[in-house]
Formats: sequence, C-alpha cells, structure tokens
Amino acid sequence: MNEVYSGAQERLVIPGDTIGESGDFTAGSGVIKVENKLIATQLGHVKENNGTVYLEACNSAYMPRSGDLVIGFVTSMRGNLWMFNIGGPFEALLPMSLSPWNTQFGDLEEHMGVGDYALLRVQEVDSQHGVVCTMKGIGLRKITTGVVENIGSNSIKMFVGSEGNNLQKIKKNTGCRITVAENGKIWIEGDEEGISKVRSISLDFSDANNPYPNLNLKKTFENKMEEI
Amino acid sequence: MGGYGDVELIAKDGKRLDGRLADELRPITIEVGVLPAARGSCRMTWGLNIAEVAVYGPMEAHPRKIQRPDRAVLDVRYNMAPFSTSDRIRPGFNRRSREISKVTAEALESIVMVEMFPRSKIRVEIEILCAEAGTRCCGITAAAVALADAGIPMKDMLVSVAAGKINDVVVLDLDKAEDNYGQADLPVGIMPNTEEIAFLQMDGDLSPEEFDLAMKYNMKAAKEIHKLQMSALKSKYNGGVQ
Amino acid sequence: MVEIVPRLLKDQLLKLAEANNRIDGRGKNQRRDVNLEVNVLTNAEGSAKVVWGGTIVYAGVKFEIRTPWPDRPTEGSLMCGAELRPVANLKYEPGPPSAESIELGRVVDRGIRESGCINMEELCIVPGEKVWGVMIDIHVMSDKGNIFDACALAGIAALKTAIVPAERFDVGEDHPLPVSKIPIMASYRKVGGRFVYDPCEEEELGGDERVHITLGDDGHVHSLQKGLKGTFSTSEFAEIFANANEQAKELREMVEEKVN
Repeated sequence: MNEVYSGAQERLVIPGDTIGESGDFTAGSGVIKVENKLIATQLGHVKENNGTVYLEACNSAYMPRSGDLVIGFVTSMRGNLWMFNIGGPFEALLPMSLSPWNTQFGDLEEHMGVGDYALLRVQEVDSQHGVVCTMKGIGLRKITTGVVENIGSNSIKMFVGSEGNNLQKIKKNTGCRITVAENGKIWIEGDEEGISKVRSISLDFSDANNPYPNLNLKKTFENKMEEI
Repeated sequence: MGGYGDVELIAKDGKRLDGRLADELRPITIEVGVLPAARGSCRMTWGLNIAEVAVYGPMEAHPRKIQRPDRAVLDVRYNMAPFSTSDRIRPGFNRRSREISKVTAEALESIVMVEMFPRSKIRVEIEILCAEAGTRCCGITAAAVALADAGIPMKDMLVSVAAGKINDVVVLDLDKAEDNYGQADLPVGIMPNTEEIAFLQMDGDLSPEEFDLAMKYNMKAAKEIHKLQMSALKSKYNGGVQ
Repeated sequence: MVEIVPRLLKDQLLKLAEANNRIDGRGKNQRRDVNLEVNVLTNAEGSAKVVWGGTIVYAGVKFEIRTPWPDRPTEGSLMCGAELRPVANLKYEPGPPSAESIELGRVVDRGIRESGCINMEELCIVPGEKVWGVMIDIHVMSDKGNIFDACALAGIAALKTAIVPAERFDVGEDHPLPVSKIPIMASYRKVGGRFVYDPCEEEELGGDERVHITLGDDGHVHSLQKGLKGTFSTSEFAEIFANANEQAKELREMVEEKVN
C-alpha cells in the first residue's frame, strides 16, 4: 500500500485538495480523478482499500443504497403507498405489496398512519433518487415501543465500535435492545432508566456541531463508555 | 463606485488610510459549525464585515417545477440584516440582493458537484450582519466553507476577493471609504487549486494593465484566504488544532 | 413546511412528563445555558447577541428622524420587528413574512413597548416637527427552540446599549438612549400534559399550546400571548406566572450586568 494513502495517518483533507498521484488507484467515494491526480471533494479522512482511495466524510448527508436497514416515519399515504421520511434527500416509498399486510386499496391507515415509525430495508434506488423500501424480512416491522434517536450516519462506526464492542457494552450495561440503522437512526427499547442512559450517549451525537470524527466528541464518548 | 473626487485615500509613502499597503487584506477570521440548526455553517469576519452562512440539504426540491432531472439546484439567498448598514435597510424584496444571490448561486454551482443529486435542492443562506464593503466576497467565501462543512461534494473550494483602484493606484480589498470614493472595483471568485474563475464582476474604470495587476493581487489574496478556509475546516475535526 | 410529529415522540414526552423528567434531562423550570453579548455589531446604534442553548439571535437598533403623529406632536416612536428567515431552520421557507414571524415580532414589540421602558416624550427633538423613531430589528440565526425569549432578551439588551446618533443627523450630541426598565419574557410550553419553561426543539415539535409572559421590573405583567391549539386552567396559569417572576429576575440581572 502506498504511503500517501495510509489510513494510519488519519489524513484530513478538504474539497479541492490533491490527495496524490492516481497511479493504479481507483477513485472511490468522495474522490475524483483529474488528469493524473486524485482530488478530494469533501471534508474527510483519506482511506485506501484494495486499490481504491476514498474519503470517510466527516459530515455527509445520508444517501440511501439498496440493502440498507433504515428507520423512518410515515409522512403521507397515497392510494396503496406509504411515504416515509428516512432522513435522506428524498422520501422513500413503501408499496402495500412489500408490506406484511394484505389490505384494501385506501385502507393503509389501519396498519400505519402519519407519524408512525417503522424499521425498513431499502429495496432499490434509481438514478433519480427514487427509493423503494420493503417491510418483508426478518425483524422489519412497525415500531410502537421505545424511542428513536438520531446519531447521524457518519457516527455509526464510532458508536458501534470495532466488531461491535461499544454497542455490546452499551446493551449489556443498560439492559436495552438497540437497533442501529444505516441512516443514522437508532431504536432503543428497554426500561425508562436504561433508555435514558442510552440517550445520554446518543444525544452527544445528535448535536449538529459535533459530527464524527470530531476529537472532542471522541473524547466525550470514550469517557462515557468508561463510566457506563 | 461613488465618486471620483479628490479624496486623499493613499499617502505619499504608499500607505492607505487604515495603514495597509496596496496589496494587503483587511483582517479576516473564519469559524465553522457556528449555527446549531444548520447542516453546515460558517461565520466570517472580514474587516468590519460579518457574514454568517447556513447550509441545508440536499433535500427534495419544491416546488416541483424547479427540479432538474440531471442535477441539484442551489437555492442561494444573500440578505443584509436591517441593522447591517448605517441607514436601516427595509426587510423584503431588494434588487441588489436578488442580483447578488443569483451570481453567487451560479458561482457556487460551478464548484458544487450538483450532478450527484438530481431533482434535489441545496439551500445556502447568506446573512450579512454588519457591512463595510465587499460583503458579496465575504458571503461567497463563507458560503464555500459552509458547504464544505455540510459535506456537500465540491471540485474545489471557492474564494472571492476584490481589488480596485483608488487615487489612480491599484489596491487590494477596498474598505468603505475606498469603495465610496474609489475609481474601480473588481470582485472575483477564484478556485484556489485550479486558479479558475467562477465569479466575476466589475464596475469603474481600469486600463488593461491595471486589470492585470488587480487580477494578480486577487490571485495572491485568494491563496492566503484559502489557507484560512482550510484551517477553519480542519480545526473543527482536530479538536481545535491545525 | 408542514412538520410531522412522530407518534413515538409524543409517547416519549408523555412518559417523561409522568416521571417529572424532560427530553434533555432538565428540570421542569430549568433554563438552558444563556449567553448574552452586547455591542457586537458596529453599524447598529445598539446591539446584542443571545446564544440560548442552540438558539442564536441578534438584535440591532437603528434610529431615524420623522415627523410626529399630529395627535402626539411631542412623542417619538418605537418599533420592533423580528424576522424568521430561512437561515434559522430547515422548517422556515423563503417568501413573505409568515404569520409565525409576524406574531413573534408583535409579541416581543408589545412586551418592550408596554413596559414603558422608553419615555416617548424624550424622543422629541422639535415638537410637531422632528422626533426620533427607534427601530429594533431582531434576526433569528438558529432556531433550536424558544426563540421568543431569546428575541425579547436580545431586543431589550440592544435597546439598553443604544446610542442616539444625534451628531450624524445634525441635531445635537450623541447620547445614550434613556431606557428605564428591563422587561423580560418567559415562555412555557404544554408538553406531555404539563407546562415546562424554555422548551427545546423536540418539546416544541411534540408539545401543545404555548404561553408567553412579559414581566416588568416591578413584577407587573406587560404582555401575554397564548399560542397554538390547546387549553389550560387558571391554576396552571397561576403556577407558571409565579415561576415567570423568578426567571425574569435572573435574566434581568444578566442584562444589567452586561450593559453596565
């Protein structure tokens, strides 16, 4: 691996910065190839994997990809479709045929109404940002208990920890069930005390001025992980 | 340009009224992440100018008729607060702000990778809280930082700066008196890495030689300001170190 | 933009209220951290910046010379406007001032005006000909809840620091604007069935009616506003009214400390 792209250095770049010569590397997410150079297009850390140089963006918007597990809430209903806010630029739709229910046209509200949360999986995304979700699959369902919090899609990696050790520790010490969705939302279920413990951690992440991998947040989080 | 009177703006030793040399900038500070409600934000002070910029999105473009099937639209608003100038500005529609919003949007569209977000909208709100001279440059420079803070992909940063002419001398970065009594003002928007120009306006009177010198000053200043943009953005993620 | 209230948020707020807790862990009448700075804007004759939790508001004072109203030839005027521009939050759309924006300006205006903090006679330059018009403009930069209190605080603090620019208008010497009182607003929101002071963004989203109380130095009430759908009892009001007095005292001390 080329020294220039070594992840160990945690090299921080801003849009327009030259990351290095492109050589045999491919430009991944957040990186473009201009002539023989790799140029950063976002604020983020330079990473390399299998010949692809990419950025781990500091504060990017969530962009749905097919297969993502997401948590969203119903914003409206049309005919046989539920429209969901999943935190991306566009609303996602859930057709009745991909829901666990078999209901009459126009009777959607019987099962889910405006403001209801659900755990969904992104089925497909077209080039125009049309997003179709499904609720057919293990664990996918309407959320009626617990709370949903936002930690931001860029913070998931830190929150979960390497091989999930942070998440395991939080679950174990609070007695809560926690579902982390790729759109940066987490669903917390448990008793009031446990929920409030988890929230005391997740609230640090939802502060818009503290996106990952801000060093201050990292320190706060590490301290809280010690205390818990 | 206000007037071409006999106001002495530059002394015999080449120093300007505020003590600056011809190619010196006013003091500049840049801070990011200052507005908690926004996805990305920036506060910039430039001389007595204060601009704060918030960025929201990308989000679905409404109304539908403004949507572009192949790219995002940048919805940019440049606005001067009523108390930002010595005479109060009445809130509401204003031809000057409309024009500046338009050219700012077009300048930013040249650097933002708008093709990555078809049908969507990115909102850029530029608020001038205190105005001295050069608020559009301050607004554009701060907007580029706020966009980067919001994680919006861009080909390069954008720095806007102006040079002008006072008492027949080309100088960088006009202050209020110089703007009022100067002979020319040439604000440009420069992509600091590629040195391309994304924004250009001018009014007044410049010879081709004076234009070249003014552009040279602008280019040099853009590099200086770019360093400030960079350190502001990086310091947020390095716990204040950069 | 129509905001949708997630049902789960409503449930959560209700449960928290039952446990006498709040979504950000504060006590029922506990305020978020408030930071007040004055004289922050060079081109305004008086100015203030308020950072109230994640809410940020600027206020600036400007003067103009105008002819007095025929029926009040010796009185100047005071006007206070607030703008909720789209910079402040994703939920605010561009366009002409919304009803919310106008309500905000008018509620803040009434509190300051009716407190009698400015003697309008003192704004007279030449009776029947020239009087000062004082204008407070309030600019909301970031809305993370309770912009009303933040705007009212910024407004009165800016007024307290204002210098009448008489020299610029050639009508005498510059002098501080005489402001004798410090009206303070306290806002309450019904959240999960009970009133809380200083609601945050989530509490505003998932809450019900709101009440704004502006109190003068002597504890007299100068403006009241009930907003949004919902009703409350007289005993509920008595409780928040009593609390408003305590909140106002603390904030008034803050203003006094900063402007002197």
